[in-house]
Amino acid sequence: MTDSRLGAASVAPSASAPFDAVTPPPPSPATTAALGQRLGAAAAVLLAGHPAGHVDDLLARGNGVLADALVRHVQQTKVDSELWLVLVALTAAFPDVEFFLGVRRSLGVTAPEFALSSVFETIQQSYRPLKCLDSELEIVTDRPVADVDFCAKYDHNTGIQRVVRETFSRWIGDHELELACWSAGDNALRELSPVERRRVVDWDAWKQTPPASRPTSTPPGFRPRLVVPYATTVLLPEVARDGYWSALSSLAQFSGNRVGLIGYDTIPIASADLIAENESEKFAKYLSIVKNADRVAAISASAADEFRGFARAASAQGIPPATVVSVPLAVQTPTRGTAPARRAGQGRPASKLVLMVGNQEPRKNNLAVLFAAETLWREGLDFRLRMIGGGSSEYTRFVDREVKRLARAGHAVELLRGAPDSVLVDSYAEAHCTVFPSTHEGFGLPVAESLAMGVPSITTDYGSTLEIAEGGGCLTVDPRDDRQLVAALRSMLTEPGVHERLVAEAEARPPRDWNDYAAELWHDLVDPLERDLR
Amino acid sequence: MAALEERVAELEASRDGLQAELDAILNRATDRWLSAANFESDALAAMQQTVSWRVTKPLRVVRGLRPGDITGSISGRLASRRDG
Repeated sequence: MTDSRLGAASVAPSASAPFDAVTPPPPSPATTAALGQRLGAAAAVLLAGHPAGHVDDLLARGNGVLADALVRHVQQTKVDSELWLVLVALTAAFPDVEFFLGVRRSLGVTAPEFALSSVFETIQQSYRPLKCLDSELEIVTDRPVADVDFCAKYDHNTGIQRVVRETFSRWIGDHELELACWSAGDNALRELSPVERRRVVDWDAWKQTPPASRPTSTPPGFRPRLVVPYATTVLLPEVARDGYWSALSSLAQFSGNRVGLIGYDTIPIASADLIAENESEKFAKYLSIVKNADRVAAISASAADEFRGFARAASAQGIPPATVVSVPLAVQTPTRGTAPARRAGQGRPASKLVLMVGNQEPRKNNLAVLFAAETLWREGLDFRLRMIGGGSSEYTRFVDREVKRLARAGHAVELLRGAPDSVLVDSYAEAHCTVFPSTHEGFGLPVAESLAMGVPSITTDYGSTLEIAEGGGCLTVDPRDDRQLVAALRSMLTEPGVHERLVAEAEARPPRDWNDYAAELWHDLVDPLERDLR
Repeated sequence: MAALEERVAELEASRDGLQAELDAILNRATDRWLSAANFESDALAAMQQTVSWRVTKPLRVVRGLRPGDITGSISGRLASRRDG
């Protein structure tokens, strides 16, 4: 090894051994001090029943003495949440399920005087890189902790990110809340840097900042504290990515925290036939967190049914089902950003615009919409079709091929990928109607946005889109019946009375904005979890 | 009486000495574990920075894919994140 990071290790040549023996350098003073801080923080919680000064006395005798006292304590109490906290303090990492069980079993068969050694041995056998050993921690017991990892680290802003940013930008002003993301090596939750925090709670201002003048996510010298929720509420508003699921599943099972999450849909499992294989695999791992969670706030009644179904399936494993509630998303006009609005009538062709918004993938039914449009063009109807949205080339190549064929035949069809928000908003404003005959949705944001802008929509006659449609402004169809889609689009384009009625219904819908959603979500998701704890 | 007190003090000193020895053993074991854990993490990070590790990364990625995945856009699949 010649890497400078390992430079202090000494190598002792040996005549008998096939390899040189490496003696690791002693831990740096900072690493030792960080371990002491973590153990002291855990002891302040777990050994609070001892006389004043007890923890300080133990710490004064050394990290090993305090670690030994903590391990003997949890060996005696046999309380899972206490063991979870001790392991976090020792390793600066949230334990995964197998490691936690390994330590618990080891302590069950080890004499107290060897308990600490058995824990060290199990840690070594877990082969998990511990990359935060020089980090201090804060144990959070008095306010909810929210994992907003993706929104904090990336500028991407579509479905889930919009929900998280709209919600937390409102919550942060009204409630005591700790925002966190994952540390180096995905070991544990940590506090956000100022930039990461802006990305979550001040997104509108952040996205106005030109990319070239944005500060770096983690400024030089930024040494974040680990954030350790204990006997409090943990919120998972994103779909945790692979790498986090095992630690979060363990947290939900053993830490004693109450875990609540936003349930978007179960499409990768329930419609696995329509999406990429690796997405189903990742989502199945994510469900290991869901099945151990306490409360799920689904984004529609339909999505709530999906999560209830999964919770019932998990009951075959003897796991108490999570409480599932429905908190429908906001139905709000999308914001167009800073680009100037297109003036009404400016360069606007006379024919009506039919708009389809959303990712292009099999369940969105883009090919059925192209079929319906072609059928009506062949009947002699005059209208334009615009599709906005991207997707995987595995499916978009079929859409591209059809669009090219129709365009070559002289039909007014266009495909916009990577269009900015301003184009999206202008398209809604220009549209005669929108089409969204998806076979499976968690909510159906494009339908909601269309109606919020007073544009009628043709959408699916079941699930979450039907829930939206029931409020007025829509024609509903069986998305698997192309003839129904043709008939609905024909009616929308050729029957002014139908169109006017649907526009009036859309405009009369009661508004439901992100303030409503955020307030209701706190009331239905966070309040009940907090009540369970206090 | 004085002899008794002297004996108690002697025993207490002996006890404190033994306790200090036990403390030293615990602290030494903890330091050694911390050294090893730290070193292993650094060693892994150093290995992952080597040219050979980075050059062979695509091979390890491909090994993790099923045959059907190869037909699609590998980079797209790997880069894809579910965003609703």
